[in-house]
Amino acid sequence: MKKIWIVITIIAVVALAIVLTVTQTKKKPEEIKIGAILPLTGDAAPYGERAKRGVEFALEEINKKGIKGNRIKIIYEDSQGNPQKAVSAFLKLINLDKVKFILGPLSTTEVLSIAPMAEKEKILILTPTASAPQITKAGDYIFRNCVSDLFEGIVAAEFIFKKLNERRAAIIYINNDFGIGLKESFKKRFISLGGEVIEESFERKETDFRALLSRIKSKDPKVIFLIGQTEMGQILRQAKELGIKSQFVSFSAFEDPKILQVAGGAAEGVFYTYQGFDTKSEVDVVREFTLKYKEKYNENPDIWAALSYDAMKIYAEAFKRDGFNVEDTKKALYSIKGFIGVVGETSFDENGDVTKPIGIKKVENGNFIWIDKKYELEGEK
Amino acid sequence: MIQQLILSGIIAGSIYALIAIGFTIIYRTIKFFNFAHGVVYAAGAYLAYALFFLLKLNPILSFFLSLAMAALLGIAIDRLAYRPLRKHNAPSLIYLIASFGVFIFIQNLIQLIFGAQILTLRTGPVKEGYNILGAVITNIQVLIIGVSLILFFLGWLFILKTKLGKAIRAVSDDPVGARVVGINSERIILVAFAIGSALAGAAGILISLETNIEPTMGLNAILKGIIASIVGGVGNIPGALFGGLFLGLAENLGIWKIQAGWKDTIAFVILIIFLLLRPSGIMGVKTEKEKI
Repeated sequence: MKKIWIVITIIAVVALAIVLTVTQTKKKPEEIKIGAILPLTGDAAPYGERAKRGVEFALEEINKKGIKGNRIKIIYEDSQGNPQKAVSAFLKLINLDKVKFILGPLSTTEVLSIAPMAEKEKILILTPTASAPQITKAGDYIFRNCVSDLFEGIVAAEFIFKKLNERRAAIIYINNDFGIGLKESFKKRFISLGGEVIEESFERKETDFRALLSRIKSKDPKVIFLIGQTEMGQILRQAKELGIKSQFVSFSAFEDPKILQVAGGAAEGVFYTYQGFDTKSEVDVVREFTLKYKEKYNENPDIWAALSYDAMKIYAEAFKRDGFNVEDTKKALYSIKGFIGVVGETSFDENGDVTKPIGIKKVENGNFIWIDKKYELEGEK
Repeated sequence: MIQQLILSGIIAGSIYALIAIGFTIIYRTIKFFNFAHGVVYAAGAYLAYALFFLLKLNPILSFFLSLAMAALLGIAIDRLAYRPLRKHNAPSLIYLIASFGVFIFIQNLIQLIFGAQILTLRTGPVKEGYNILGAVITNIQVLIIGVSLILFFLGWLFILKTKLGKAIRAVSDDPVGARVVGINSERIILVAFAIGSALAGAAGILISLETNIEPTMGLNAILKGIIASIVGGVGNIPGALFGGLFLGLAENLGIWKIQAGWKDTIAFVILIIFLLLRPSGIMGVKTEKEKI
């Protein structure tokens, strides 16, 4: 008797589930699915978490109005910041969920690992943050919503050479696609200006930088260009303890309260190039975004949240222009010029790269201060 | 620069030695590579963080309480994961897999509770260190070297001189014989887990004073601890100290002339060389056995 009841219960549950899913799908016939591949666990999870918040904020606003009566649905997949996991997340999204649009992944290595498949399967990728120069040539279907490191590296090199008037610089960089990309663009420009560089690399999980810094110290460079993630705070702290007095210059990822906290005062006076996201901006979209974000999470949004928010909005904008199939959306993305996001004015070029303003900031009394909102390269636009 | 590299080597080496001795004490009673040892190291740092920052206890009290809790964690791991396997006389591969399982489980648990982001145990502004013989050293680093060496020697004395230590050695050398003379091996295993795990927790806390804490910090630590054990001779306590310092110095001095990114490569090359040429390590476990 008991067995019969178990069988009946199972059938009832399954039937209920089928009824529910059928009615669910009937209710929302036009749902545009976007797969978000983000590092939600693992080392890079803090970035993924903030990117997700940005996406959620944008999604809420988009779905409130709807796009021509349709809603967007996001399916999150965790990549752990790991290229292999990104590939399996990608395959799951396109094969099981039949997703045609991908938002993310965040890191260059991950984007490059899924780009060839996306090209073949004609799946659109829009990464909010992957910034290495290699992405420019990654393919026709690959877009990004952040400025190529080429530009940040060039701005940093120009700034050190022309504004700080230094001719010898050391580069400390993280040994991955992104670190190498940024290092190369900096090095190329700095040398062509007439400067000299020495370089040292470290691996992603390193926590002890004393040996590396001892090597740098023995060469006594006046300026050190620092390329890394949250470990940059650690590097600054150990550099100070070792008595290194060189001026540090970094890039966008430096604006992270975590880095200041870890550096414990050693971050004072560091310059860094920055893509124009400014929580203190008077521009309406930025003010509203910052206010709502702070209300919800009790901290200021950062560049990761902001770029992801914009990326989601850019997808919505592209859908609005032409429709929901891949080719139309791709065409629409290429045609986006002067889009006003929270990270300044954004225009796409023929490679799927964007241009946005880049400025210079500095750490003063534990705050991130603007030095120059839009660094103008001489003789270039 | 060479002085600085030697100093870095000693700091790293004394931590490796501390991980290795805890690992060794446990290894001697259970005879498999307990990977979960690495996650106890991470847990130690997180426990100290929780006690010090969240419960606002005094730093020294937090340190010792975290050691006690790390010891309890070690006991719990043995009771819940390994003891049931011992009852079924599981083959050693199963233990190894179980220890990975425990590692991943606790690491994810830490991540759930504390989040994946980096936390800092140290507070206060950063100061430039003192210059001694051309190397710069900070107060914290003196503390790390001092405390880890003291704990190491306490662990060693415990194994050499105390009754429980002798019992651990007896169980290690001849489990059946030990049972014949009335040693309760289950109890001895628990003691080994408690002591070994407390030492791992201490290593985790000490390194966090210098670097940061993050949930994934345990893997690299246990790998280095295991390499140190193999270099010194698996199961050998002075070997753990020797192996730890050797590894720390080799890693740091190795990058004198080549780029710093090669540090881990050096460690693993040393491992391969030892596994090929001298698998019993510098102070092979055989001599220790003969002594008793």
